[in-house]
Amino acid sequence: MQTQNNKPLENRELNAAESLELIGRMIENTHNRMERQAGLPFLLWGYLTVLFTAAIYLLIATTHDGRWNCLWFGLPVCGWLGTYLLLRRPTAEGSVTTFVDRVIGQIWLVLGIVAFVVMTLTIATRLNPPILFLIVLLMSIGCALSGLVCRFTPFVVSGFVGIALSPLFLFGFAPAWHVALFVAAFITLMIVPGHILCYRSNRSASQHHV
Amino acid sequence: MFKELNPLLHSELRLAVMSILLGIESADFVYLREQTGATAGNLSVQLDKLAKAGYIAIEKGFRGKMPRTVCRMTDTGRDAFAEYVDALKSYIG
Repeated sequence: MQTQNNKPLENRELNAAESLELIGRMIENTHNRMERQAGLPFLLWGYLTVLFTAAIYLLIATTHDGRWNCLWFGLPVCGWLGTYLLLRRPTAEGSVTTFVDRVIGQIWLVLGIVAFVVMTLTIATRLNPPILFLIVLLMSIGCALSGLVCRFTPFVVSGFVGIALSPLFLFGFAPAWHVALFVAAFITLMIVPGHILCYRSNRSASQHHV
Repeated sequence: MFKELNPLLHSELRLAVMSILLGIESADFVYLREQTGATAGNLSVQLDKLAKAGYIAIEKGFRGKMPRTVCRMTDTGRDAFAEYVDALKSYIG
């Protein structure tokens, strides 16, 4: 196994200039590193949301039974379980947690809890908040913040597009249109940028690994 | 006047580990080995030395079924690293 300059590090003493060069190089390597498949959590949540939305809409449309809405509770369960399994899988490159990783994790934790509360209020009470508007707005805020924190433009763009277009859900379109818009929102917010992030992180990880 | 360089940090591999840990929250053993290119045995010995000095904290656990060692820099380590860089400046500047 070799370092960036193809020389394994040993226990030898360094002179002052070599020490400073080594410190700079190690910090730079870690700073520029992207985890392979970094977009997977976004793809997981994006595809799961599209799948649950389509399935629940079709079930309600065919049976005319609103109790199928309880299936929405399966989305966070599947999502959190899948995310947990994704994050704990061992990788050949090892893993590192940066401050940015922690900030993004905390952002999504808070937004996830708020989304869960909104969903519970909608399904379990008669308050009837505008759930599609609120969920798309929350997820758009999460994508925009994630993109800004990790300097990944596709998430910044998709996040702000989502924030700007989320009020569309407040208009009284037919339910089928709301569902189609909701699916389109998640494809734009999470699936497309998630694939771009996976592609870039795989390419970056491969370059670092050569 | 030249300041004395901390002998614990003035070694290529230990300095590399401390430099990596400086800018992050934590890194596992595999990542450190990958970045430094050191052998597992040598890296393990050097991590123990840094941990005994209180410069890094080592947590051993599991990721799935695989054993996993996670390292993070302590406040003592950060202070020692800052002093080391200060001392280096007296040689350069």
